[in-house]
Amino acid sequence: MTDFDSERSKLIGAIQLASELEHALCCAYLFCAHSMKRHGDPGTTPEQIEDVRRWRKAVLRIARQEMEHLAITANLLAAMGEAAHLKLPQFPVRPGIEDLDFHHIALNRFSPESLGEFILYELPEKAGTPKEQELRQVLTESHLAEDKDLLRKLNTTGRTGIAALYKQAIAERICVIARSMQREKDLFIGTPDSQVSNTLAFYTFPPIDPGARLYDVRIETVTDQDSALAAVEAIRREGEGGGAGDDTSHFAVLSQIYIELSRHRCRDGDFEPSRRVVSNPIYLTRFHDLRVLGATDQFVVTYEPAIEAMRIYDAAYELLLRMLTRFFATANTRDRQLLAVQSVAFFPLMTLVLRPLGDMLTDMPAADDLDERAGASFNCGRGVDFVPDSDLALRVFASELRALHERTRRLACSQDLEESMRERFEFMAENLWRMAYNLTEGRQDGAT
Amino acid sequence: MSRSTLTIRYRGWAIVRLPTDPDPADEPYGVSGYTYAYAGEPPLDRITRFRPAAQFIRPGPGYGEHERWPWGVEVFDAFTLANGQKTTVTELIGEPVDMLDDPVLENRNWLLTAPGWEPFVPFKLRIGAGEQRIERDAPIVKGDDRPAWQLPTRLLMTQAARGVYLDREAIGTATGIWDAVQLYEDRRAWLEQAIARETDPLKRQVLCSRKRQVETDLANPAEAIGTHYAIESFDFPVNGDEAVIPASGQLSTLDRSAPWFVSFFFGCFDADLLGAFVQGALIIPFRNEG
Repeated sequence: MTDFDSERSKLIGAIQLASELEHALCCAYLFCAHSMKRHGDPGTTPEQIEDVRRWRKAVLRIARQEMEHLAITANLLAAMGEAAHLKLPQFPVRPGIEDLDFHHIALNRFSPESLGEFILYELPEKAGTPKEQELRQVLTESHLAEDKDLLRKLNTTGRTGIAALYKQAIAERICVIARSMQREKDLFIGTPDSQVSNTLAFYTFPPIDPGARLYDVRIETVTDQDSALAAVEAIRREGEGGGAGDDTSHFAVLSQIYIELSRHRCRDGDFEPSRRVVSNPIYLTRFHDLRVLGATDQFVVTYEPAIEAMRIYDAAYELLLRMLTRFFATANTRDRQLLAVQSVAFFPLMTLVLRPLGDMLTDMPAADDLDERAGASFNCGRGVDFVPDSDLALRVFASELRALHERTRRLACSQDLEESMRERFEFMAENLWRMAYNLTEGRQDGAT
Repeated sequence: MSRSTLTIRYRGWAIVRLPTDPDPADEPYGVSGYTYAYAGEPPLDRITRFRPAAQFIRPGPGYGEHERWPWGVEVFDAFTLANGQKTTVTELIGEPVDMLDDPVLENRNWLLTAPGWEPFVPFKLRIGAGEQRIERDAPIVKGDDRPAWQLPTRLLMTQAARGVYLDREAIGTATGIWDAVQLYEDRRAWLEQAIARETDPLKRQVLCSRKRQVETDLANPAEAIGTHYAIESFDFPVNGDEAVIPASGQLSTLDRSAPWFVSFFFGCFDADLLGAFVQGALIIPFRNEG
């Protein structure tokens, strides 16, 4: 093995690791957003609920941008001739990475503690940004124990987390490998057509510049060293920020939410911004028990309707990953089959199934006679295999969607659930049927 | 020889309480889009209301000659055409126009149709009230009992909007609103004054939330404010089996079995008030006499 091959192999491994971390973070942000209170939830004033909604919008935006980061890492891999890496680790995730300092990533409800963990994850490599100074001042002046705890962690946490992974293990390694023109060509052997951009991923109205952000997302494409470094820089800037005055980075946004939450809690010590959703929820299955059990900070959900809803969520999420695996692998075809997958995977499956179901799960008890609520487990036990034949893939995906339609329809008939929730499951069942239809016979009717 | 017809022209402001992308189509309160249900308000339900009840109307400024926003759709012109002769039907002018049975723009996050190509489901138009009312529905496929979400897209599109497009001239001419940014600036000023006057804490909170969102929209006008100039146009036959016409008078000779035609546009969406402007015409043939 030459130096080039050895360094390239390490680079690919680092990008795949970054993909897994971005993916896990995305799910953690989604879980957190699903737990946040809505109108009608007890124990909060209308003013508090409006602030919680604004924070929830921001957390969901960050989750979308973590999806964008995952797509950019897929483009980086595609530019080097590799497959997209959509593997999702089991929660809670405990990355043990030499020389880098990672906290574990868990599925936790929105709270000062979980927000603090996110802040530490998005911590800028260089200390002392204006937003960090503002946060430190609030924490210093606060009498709240959780604020003191976050301040202590800020003072002791190394700044060698995900930002350092991108800088040291990816960007600097790209520069080392591609230091000569020939090596740059040897590294970036993929074709631009095999990558996914905003134009390929989304429709939009009103029509806007293809290079503009859509739903706060811009998927960078990669063709050479400069564009690869620009893509990595875009991820880094979105996460930790671009310096003074940048209030849109994940770090700055999360810090601002933390500051506002701290002020709320100083005024009202009983203020709970989230539902009492259990951490790292799991359910027991006949065949996968050994793989998911073992961690002490998991909660085994036992309320039957919640278990079925969690199973539907996981099956839908797994199907989404299988569709995205095919989408990324065949992006260069731009054929009708690819567009059919696009028309289901991005908008309706994410927006009409995963998002509402994630919210609805936090309406359900985790166990009979328990106040704590259930949540999505993000357990993709069967992985993200590739269905090779394009026409057969659509039939396979449609079959899975019809199976989900049947299960959701049955849940909609459950007398254990309130009528408003049964109506939402019925709506979801209709939409799952339609997604299957659009992938198969609907394609003849101009549905895609 | 052409048939005699009755043309009923209507216009006005409807309430459209729908979540916006990327929120789910059934998101009850709005999170990631730019439309919201605030504290004390009913959840977002996607329903278009031509004759909105008070509970769905947010307080707002006057508009044009109105002290308050002029909610409600009504007939502003009606005439018969017979042998090239146009005769005004004065008794219809000012009559209320309604879409019955909770119609929604049936798109579902672009699942059923492409954006801008969605139909109203169901479509059942009523003009006037009581014994003298005119009423008929427009099934997408006569005799087909399948719900809209099971119908092929090509069938849905027979009654759908013909795309969505920006048309400042059409919106300005119809509504008098030529500058949506100024409208939002004025709204912000009105909300500031309303907040200062309001003593009810819940209502005050809603006004504060609205003002905050208007300011967000002004900072990023491409989305919510840009949509102000968007229009969807519709034109299709109204041919349901259960047509209702006045029992007496000139309009009792309208043809209940022949297809009627409706043509209208829907646009000028106001994300703060959750309203939209509609203007259209319903054309009904008279029975052939002999």
